[in-house]
Amino acid sequence: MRGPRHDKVTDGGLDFGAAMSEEESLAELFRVYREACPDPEPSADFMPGLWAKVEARRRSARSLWRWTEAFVASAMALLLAMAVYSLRQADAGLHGFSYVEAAENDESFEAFAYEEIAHLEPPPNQERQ
Amino acid sequence: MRIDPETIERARKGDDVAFSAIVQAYRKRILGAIARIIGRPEDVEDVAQEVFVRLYFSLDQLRTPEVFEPWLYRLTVNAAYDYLRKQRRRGESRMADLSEQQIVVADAAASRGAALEESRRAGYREQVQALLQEVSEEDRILLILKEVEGLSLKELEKIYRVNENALKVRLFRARQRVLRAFAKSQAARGAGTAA
Repeated sequence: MRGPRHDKVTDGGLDFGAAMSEEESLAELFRVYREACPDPEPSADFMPGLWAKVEARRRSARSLWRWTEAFVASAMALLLAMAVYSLRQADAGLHGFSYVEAAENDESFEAFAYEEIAHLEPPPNQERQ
Repeated sequence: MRIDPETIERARKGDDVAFSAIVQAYRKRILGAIARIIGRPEDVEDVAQEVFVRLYFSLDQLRTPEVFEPWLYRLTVNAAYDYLRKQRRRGESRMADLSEQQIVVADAAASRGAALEESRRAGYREQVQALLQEVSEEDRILLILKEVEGLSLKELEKIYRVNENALKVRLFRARQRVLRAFAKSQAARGAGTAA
């Protein structure tokens, strides 16, 4: 392992001699950089801060999960209600009236019956002749 | 490995005490790697905490404790990269901030009689980080992991999940770019001294 090249430092910068190849210069540059940036000591707040972040993320995940559950439950309830409603509607359409009731309510049937009678009766002046 | 596989296995199963032991074993190393990648001491702890939060929530996806370290480095690389991307979006001038902070650090050190040493280190940091600006964020991180953190190509292969040859090509190109910038800065320095 080579030692730091303090003799080549000018104005806080690095100045590698011509004797070094470019590759060597770069390797030296990174080595000096590693020395100039030692591993920082974690602060006293590191672990409490980390657990606070874990807890916050857990809470937000839980709340998102609750919202999702609530949304799915409401969607299911709505779907069920719509299904029940449409089934009832279908039942009412098919079986709500008897045949007689349906015929009574059907105006087109009545109109057709009167029309038939009107066609069958001869005109009053034809009758006198 | 700084921690035994049993502790990792316990943490994987949700044991918070085991997780704390992992954090304590690796936090200094992760803090150092992040400091050297992002170059902003005031944000290093935040990014490191983010790494460990991601580790906490993804540990159950770890298949075997043997791949734990590359996994942790992968999370570190991703968190650092996300941080750098956010900084770029904010459009902050990293070097200007860094220099300002280094001046503050150097000033504080002056009162303790260590001004010269700190200013020398600040000069190294500034020069290397200026050179690293010449490559993309991805390549900068890769270069730092290889050349500064001292990770092997095999380890990088596991972290990046790409084959060794692709990594070699990428490293070579990044190194060439940094070398060109280095040669330029040396020429400028020479011209400045001559004038």
